[in-house]
Amino acid sequence: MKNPTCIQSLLTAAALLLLACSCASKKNAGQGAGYDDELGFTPLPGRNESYSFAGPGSENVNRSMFAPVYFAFDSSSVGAAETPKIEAVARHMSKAGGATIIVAGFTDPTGTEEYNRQLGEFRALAVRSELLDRGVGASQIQTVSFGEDMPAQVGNDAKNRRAEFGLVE
Amino acid sequence: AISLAAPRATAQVEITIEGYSGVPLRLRALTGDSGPPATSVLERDLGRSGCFSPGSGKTAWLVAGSSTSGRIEGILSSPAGQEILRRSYRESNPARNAHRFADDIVEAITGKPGISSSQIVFVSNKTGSKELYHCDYDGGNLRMLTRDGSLSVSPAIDPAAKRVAYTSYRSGYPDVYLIELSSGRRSRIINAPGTNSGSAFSPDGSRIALSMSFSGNPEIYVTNTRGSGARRLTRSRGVAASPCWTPDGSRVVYVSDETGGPQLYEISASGGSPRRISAGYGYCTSPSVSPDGSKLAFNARIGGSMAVVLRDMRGGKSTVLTSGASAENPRWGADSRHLLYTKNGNLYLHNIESGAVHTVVSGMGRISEPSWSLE
Repeated sequence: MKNPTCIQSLLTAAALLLLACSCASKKNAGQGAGYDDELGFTPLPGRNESYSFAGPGSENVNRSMFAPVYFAFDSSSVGAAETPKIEAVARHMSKAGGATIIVAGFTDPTGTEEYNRQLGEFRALAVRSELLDRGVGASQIQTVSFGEDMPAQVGNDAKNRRAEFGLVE
Repeated sequence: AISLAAPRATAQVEITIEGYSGVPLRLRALTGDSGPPATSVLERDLGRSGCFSPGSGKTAWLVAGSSTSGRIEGILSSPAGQEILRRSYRESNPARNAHRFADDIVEAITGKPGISSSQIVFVSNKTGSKELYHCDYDGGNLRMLTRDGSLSVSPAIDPAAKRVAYTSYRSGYPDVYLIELSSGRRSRIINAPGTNSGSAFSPDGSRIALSMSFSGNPEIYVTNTRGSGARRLTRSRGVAASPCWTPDGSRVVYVSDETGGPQLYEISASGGSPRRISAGYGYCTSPSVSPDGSKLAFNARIGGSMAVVLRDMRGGKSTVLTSGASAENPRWGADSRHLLYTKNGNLYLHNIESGAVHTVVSGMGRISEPSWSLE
């Protein structure tokens, strides 16, 4: 407690940040829900429903511009062989300032649907984290998971454990 | 099996209840214009309950009554001949009247709830897209609930069978919707950024536990049934999925893969520190706690396929219930004796005490993610 003023202002800053985040989440989540969040994670940006990966507005989303990132069974680690794909996305995003990208996570059909849905989201978030590390802004990235639905190739597990990119045009 | 106890059509006909062990019970065919179909539903319900065995004479309980235009006047008498229950069932749906009578018989004799009046909601890809369907516990009164041509998944029917919470991708994003079954009214209750799914109603129907990822990580939250007032339970560094409630509503059992493969954890419904449930398998998902609080059913990956495994909630060893093809998403019935699960795309009812397995719905494309009400 050498410098109480400094600690005090740090605490105030943290409280303000928390407040700002919780307000942002409230707005994002709709219905005025009191969602809290946590420092150390980057909250997702607000939903923009004028486009989506595979629903309304998907005609404005380019899903073939970037190669999918593949994963090992039940894993969300991005392997070294996959990082060039993420770097390509990051380069494009930094050139096209203000562009938005949707990262969609998928799994193979092994296991139960709901765990796979969250595993797919975790894969999308792992790829998002790599993009954030490479300077892409949090407000430019949306995530969505389809779990084991919408397989790339029925029966080919290695091709189905993936994250795809959809560039909003 | 119908055995004619007396030769004359006007005489009392007795039906032999299918049963292995249990309370001796006689079913006297219901009289009246809709007696035969009502009797046939009763016969099946009482047999499947697993509570009874065929009885005769003065050692058995006696079920009797009449059915007119689908309504039922039901009577249950004790072995001593005392009338225990006499009730009218006057709903518009004839099968539901018989189901309710069957559950009243089960409860009057055993003191425990039956499963015959309960409702099931499940997902099927029959039309080429995943939609929700709704039926009685035996597959009767089957109807399509959603027709969105999108992905309708992860349904939860509330314990009283009044509402369904589920995840739809109709906006292009996985949002949670609530359907009022009586009116068909649907409202979107959660559209937080990211993936919102895995809804599970609390035992009193007032809260929903689910996974949401808007914080930047998939975590378990508890909200009210309007989707507001979300309270975060988990603070994980991995996937947190598939919450289910303990029957007193005080705790939530869920799946987390923080330590590698998916494992089961238990946490207070108001948050706090999770406790790992050592189930003994490297890959465990889809937990369900029995309504009497005694047993946990879940999926474990064994030899490349998903098996249904049972475990005592107080600890002890796990018992594998199913073998062969993957049997997924076990869900307990109100009697804590039956499990519902899918296998090869069909829906089955499994009596864990007798081992009897009945098909509930089959031949409907691929069925997945069943949810089962208590009432």
